[in-house]
Amino acid sequence: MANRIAVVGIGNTLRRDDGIGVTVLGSLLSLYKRERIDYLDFGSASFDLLNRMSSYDAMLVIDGIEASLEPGELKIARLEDITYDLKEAVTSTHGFGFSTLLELYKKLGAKTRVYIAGIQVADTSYGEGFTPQLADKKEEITGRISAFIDTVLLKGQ
Amino acid sequence: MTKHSSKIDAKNVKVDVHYLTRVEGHGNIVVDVKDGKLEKCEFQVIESPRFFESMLVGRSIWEAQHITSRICGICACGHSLASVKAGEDALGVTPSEETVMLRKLLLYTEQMDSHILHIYILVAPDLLGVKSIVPLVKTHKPVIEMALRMKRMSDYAGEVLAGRHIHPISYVIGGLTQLPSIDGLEKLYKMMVDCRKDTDETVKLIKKLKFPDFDRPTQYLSLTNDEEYAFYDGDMVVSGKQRTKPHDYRKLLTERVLDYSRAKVATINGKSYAVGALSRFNNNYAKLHKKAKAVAEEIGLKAPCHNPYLNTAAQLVEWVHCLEESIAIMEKISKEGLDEKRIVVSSWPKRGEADKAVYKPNTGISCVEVPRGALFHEYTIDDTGHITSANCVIPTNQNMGNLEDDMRKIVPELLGKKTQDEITLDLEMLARAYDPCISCSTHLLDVKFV
Repeated sequence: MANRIAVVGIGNTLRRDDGIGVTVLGSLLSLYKRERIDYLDFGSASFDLLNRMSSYDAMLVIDGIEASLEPGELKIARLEDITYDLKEAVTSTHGFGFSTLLELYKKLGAKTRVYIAGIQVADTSYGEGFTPQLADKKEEITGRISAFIDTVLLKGQ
Repeated sequence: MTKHSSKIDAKNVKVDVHYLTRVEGHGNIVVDVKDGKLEKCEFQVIESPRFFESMLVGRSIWEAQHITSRICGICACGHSLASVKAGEDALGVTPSEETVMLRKLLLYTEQMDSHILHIYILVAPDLLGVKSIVPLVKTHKPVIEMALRMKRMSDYAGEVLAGRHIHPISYVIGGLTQLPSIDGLEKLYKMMVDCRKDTDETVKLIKKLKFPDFDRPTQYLSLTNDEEYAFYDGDMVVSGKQRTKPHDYRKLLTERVLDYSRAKVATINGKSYAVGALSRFNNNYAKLHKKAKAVAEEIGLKAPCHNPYLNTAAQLVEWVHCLEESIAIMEKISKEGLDEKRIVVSSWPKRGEADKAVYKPNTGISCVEVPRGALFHEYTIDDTGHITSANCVIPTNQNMGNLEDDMRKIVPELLGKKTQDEITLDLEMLARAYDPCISCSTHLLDVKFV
């Protein structure tokens, strides 16, 4: 692991739109690969991401979100600027939710610049394939995230 | 949700924990005491069945470990090793000593990975009076940072030894598909040695914590082995007796389904039994590493221990044992190296040879100790090497009946002494002490309507 920057995809491709993070990660890798970046598919794994985060100077995490936006809408923000409801995550019965990890990471005062690329999802039920609105926007989302990587994530590296 | 009550009622208590938190998967605790009579006492597993045994049917024996490692994201290495052992048993393959040594190393690191997660992330919040690890970052930041360092070592061990942290890919029937890298092993060794200091601090911390008092002797099942503290191989033993070969596991334990749970429960001699760290500690104390014995003494854990809450303490003792055994293996590797010819194999018969391979219909059975206890895999193969039937007996299933029997004893003991909220917390802590892996435990009856 010589690179100091990572792009991480999170999500479960067997839960429809929830897989958008890892799918976009795959598209970035095949269409917009940059040599100085580690591309990491974390799927539905969680806790070990906490340790990985501190290994990099900067990290972009791509994940599906529920933020009452239009399906497929993309929001990219610094971790420090995001607030979320931790109630569910704290009582999570499946180890750690991503939001719990992020909160832990914030409180531990880690130095890595972490950005979250959140993509509004519509259907996270069991099954494969995205809802039409999300599928239509996949290429546009990939392009916008690639532009963000070039203009912000790699800036100063 | 639990109904809140701060009054002590000696005759009526209703506990409905839906879902239990800080365990893997979804489970409910339901207890109903009416007029002093315990009418209901259940640990309900309400997750969907996973159908892994059905998925195995029709698949080649060579791919079983890749399928079964997905049963669990925490015990993936244990499932993988149980699978390759059962496959080797069915095919009559004997791995080299070096291969077995690396498998033991992988199993030790998985015990450490799971145990430290349970001790710090799932149990510590109870003992420190908070709901989760998040508030502890504010009050116990150095402790959480230490826990994360320990976890980082065991995470990295999976990457170096098995190709990745979760769902190992390099451990296959007959050997490994590739050797761990020298650089990776050297880094891992250093991380392990550094973990000794964090281990000492963890022992000091656990020593200060107060676990609930409870005592109920039960049957303790684990592997046992005359040479070492058994994780990878051995005979089964029940509280030091009934030594049985894993091949005869069906003669020893009986599985049955419940109408209120999707997990099967198991019995031995018609009674519930426990598996896991405390069972291994009780059966195999004499074979622990001397440093692990010293830690047991320091924290006041003596074999046999009949307090299930102290399973967490036994996990700490096992952490020490596994750390020291792992360091010893790493030093042996550093001194003697690894002979690729005796370890590396292909993961599948080569394309040209696959069609010519001759298989003898057979049944392979294995047992390994995973963090939560004895895990059994059994596969029957046909003359094409494909699986015709499979059975996996998961530790959490085996613990279910024992947990409920503990609950049946502890609830009457707490009546009149604790409030409903306090009883609820004690029951939650009791269930958490078993470190249940509920998703792994779900099974469904194969029902045929006639």
